[in-house]
Amino acid sequence: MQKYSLIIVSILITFLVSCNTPGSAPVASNTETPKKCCDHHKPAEPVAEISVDELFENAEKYNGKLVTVHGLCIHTCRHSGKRMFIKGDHDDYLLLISAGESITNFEASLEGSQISATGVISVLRSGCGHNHADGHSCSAAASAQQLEMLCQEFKSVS
Amino acid sequence: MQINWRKINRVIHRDLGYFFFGMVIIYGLSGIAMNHRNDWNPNYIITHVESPLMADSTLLTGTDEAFRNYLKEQNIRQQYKSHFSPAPNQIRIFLEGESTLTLNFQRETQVYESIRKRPVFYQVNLLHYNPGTWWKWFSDIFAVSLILIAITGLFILKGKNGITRRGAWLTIAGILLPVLFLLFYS
Repeated sequence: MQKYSLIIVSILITFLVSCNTPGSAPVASNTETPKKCCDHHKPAEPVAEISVDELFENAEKYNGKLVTVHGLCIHTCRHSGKRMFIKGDHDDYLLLISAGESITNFEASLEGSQISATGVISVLRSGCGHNHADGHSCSAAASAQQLEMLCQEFKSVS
Repeated sequence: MQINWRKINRVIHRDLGYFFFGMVIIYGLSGIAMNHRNDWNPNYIITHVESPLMADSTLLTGTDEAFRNYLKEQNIRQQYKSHFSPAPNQIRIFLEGESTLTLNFQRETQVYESIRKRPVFYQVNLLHYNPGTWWKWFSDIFAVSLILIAITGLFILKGKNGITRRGAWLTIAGILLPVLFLLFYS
């Protein structure tokens, strides 16, 4: 009986250790150097450091790019802790930041702090999303762009 | 040597059951918390205290120093962190210690909000929401083991309470119920 228990424990430990061992993934046959398992947690090259305002004013330029954005954290998701908003000087410029795989969570204590977050930007919505054939015009807030960052790393700078 | 499959089955069921006892409790507790997330906040205990606003509208454009003075007047001992305007005629002051004070100049009220982590549930939810790569792999192993525990559990007993008699009916009922829910909701 004890023999079987030892076998089960050994299988569990082997499985756990082998899952995330660097170099365990199959390497492609080309000359590319295989990436270490944790390389995706860190930016590979220097990234542009900008404010939330600059990001919103040049949204298309930064769409799909890896950038570091500075702003004031005004809200964190109190259910999942996986999202937060940072703002710039302009009240309509709110950047939604979603936690990437390497981030545990955004704690509520970040609210009110200056944040520096690095990640890839995507434009969720540009303009108000409908035509104005019916003659009305949208408010500034409604027509504001919605941008999201998939965050790889962040720090509180205040 | 003849392999005793029943013995192996029992050992797998028993040892995985022991080893993943903690994980079952973690996911069980956070599962209940998630089911009722529209009724309560399982992560934080949030309290609101509303009182009349004791400031005039000049504070809408106040400096950091003006807000520090206002907090002192209100006998709020927590340190000022920063502030912003969430809406016209409103100012939210962030305080050290996960609290805020929201001044509403239109309604002439102020709301003090304090937040603190809910013991146990904050921690189990943090784990449930996948805090990192290592946890992801560990919880995958747990999920596979849970399937193994379920399958091996079917073959623990022989006789009238085994899988061929009483066990068969209960197992079928347990599979049918979620299928009925699925048909009902889809």
